[in-house]
Amino acid sequence: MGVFSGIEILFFFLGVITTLGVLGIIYLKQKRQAGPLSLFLSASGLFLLVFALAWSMSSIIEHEHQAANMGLLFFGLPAILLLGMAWKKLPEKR
Amino acid sequence: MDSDEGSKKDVTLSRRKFVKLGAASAVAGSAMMASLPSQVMAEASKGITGKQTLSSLPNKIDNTVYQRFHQKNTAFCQAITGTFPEGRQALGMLGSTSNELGQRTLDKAISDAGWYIDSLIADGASTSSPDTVAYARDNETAPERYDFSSPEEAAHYVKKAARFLGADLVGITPYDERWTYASFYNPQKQKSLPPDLPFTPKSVIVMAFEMDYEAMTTAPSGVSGGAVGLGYSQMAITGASMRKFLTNIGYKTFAAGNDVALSVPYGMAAGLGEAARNGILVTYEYGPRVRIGKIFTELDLACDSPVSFGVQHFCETCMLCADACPGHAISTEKLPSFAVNNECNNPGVSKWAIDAKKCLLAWGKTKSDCATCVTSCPYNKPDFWHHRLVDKVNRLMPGPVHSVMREMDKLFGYGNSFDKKAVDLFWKS
Repeated sequence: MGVFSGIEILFFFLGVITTLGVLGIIYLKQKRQAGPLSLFLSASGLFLLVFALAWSMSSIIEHEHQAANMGLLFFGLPAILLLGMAWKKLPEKR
Repeated sequence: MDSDEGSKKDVTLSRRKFVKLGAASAVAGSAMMASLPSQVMAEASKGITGKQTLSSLPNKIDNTVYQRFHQKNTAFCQAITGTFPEGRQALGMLGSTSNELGQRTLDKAISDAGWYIDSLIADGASTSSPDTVAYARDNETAPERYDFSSPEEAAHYVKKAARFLGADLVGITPYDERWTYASFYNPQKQKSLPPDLPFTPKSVIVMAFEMDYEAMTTAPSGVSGGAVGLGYSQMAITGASMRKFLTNIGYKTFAAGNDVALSVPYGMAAGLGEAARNGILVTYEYGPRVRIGKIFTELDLACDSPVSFGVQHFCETCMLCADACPGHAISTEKLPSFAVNNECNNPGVSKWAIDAKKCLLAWGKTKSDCATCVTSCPYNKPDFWHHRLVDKVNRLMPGPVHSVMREMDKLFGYGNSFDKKAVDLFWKS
């Protein structure tokens, strides 16, 4: 791992999370027949979640811990709310 | 066979959907771009850095008033010579220690260590020191010249050499006599020197040296003093090395720290950054967290242009540096003006003039070379993607939003000065 900087490792894992998130959205569409609103909320929530993680981890790398916490609060909390709303809008499982 | 066909059909369908989605996104994107106000569009088209190239310096200069500045009018020279006795007293406080974090023997030791090379080869950088190793003016030049095919080629090689030899940012501008001191002054020897240069330079290579972000978060302290000193030491090393490089290829050259000429106008002219409310050059890459060195050479080099990336506009509403300054030395006027505080400011240039005497007195109060105006500036951030994103967004926003951005900067914990925990964190990280 020594050849990679913290930020490179961070973006690698963000890539993994984004891929899993996109697969999750595809699953919601194909298997759970998610509607456009639910899909839009899921995509927005995923984007904000990835952004919150990227912000906070970058802030930790630069030793700005308050910025990391505030990043989770400002971007992470709305992300969870959006994802929760998306979940609520899903049609009932048949 | 059926299953193959089925899967093929699925793939075709998803491709179609993909193309449709792409087309829809393009239409939506175009519609959004078209709906943006033209000013925002103009900003967005300035490339990934958001830097706008200017044809001349952004500051208004009143040529009927402007005269070249005398070096002995700097607060440092006045303090060292004793014409500003309170300043002399303040400078005397820099070495004092106490048990307070940032002021301990340990913290002052690293400050002294940072300054060490500068004191050996550049004599403090702030004064006229033509007889020092780093900033010697009369230098032996190789008799045979290396010929470059064009000023552009020469500029490319010179910039590469400067970066290799330790500069973090390099820009080039033509020699402009307006920024050269009207007279030089050596305060240690209390002696005025004529502003004689060994030759008339054609080009000035302006180099910026980054100061460590983490060390600067401890300002004002011995640790931040060490970062400042290290910047000066690196400036002296690179200055001397660049002089050697250029004289080796047959061009008369000399280097300068804070002596010979004003650094901020040269930094702006060479496209390194913009002048801010705190009187410091704010660069795109490191904000105000840089020291500036200059190389004067007779080599004809292709020059860079001044740039703007919205610093002055942001400074109009921000004022975090003015709030943080323990000496109240920074102007709180909304717009830059021709007003000056005392003989330490040069009249005739529109800017936010800092009160250099009050600034120096704050050094005595904080028992350090302060730097709270550097630490508190929202442009003082490490070169990370999220800060570049905020810079970009900030530039697109109108003035009132800058007040929100200023508060967000504080809320996110950036720009704290007098933060003793930062000293502890610096040593333990």
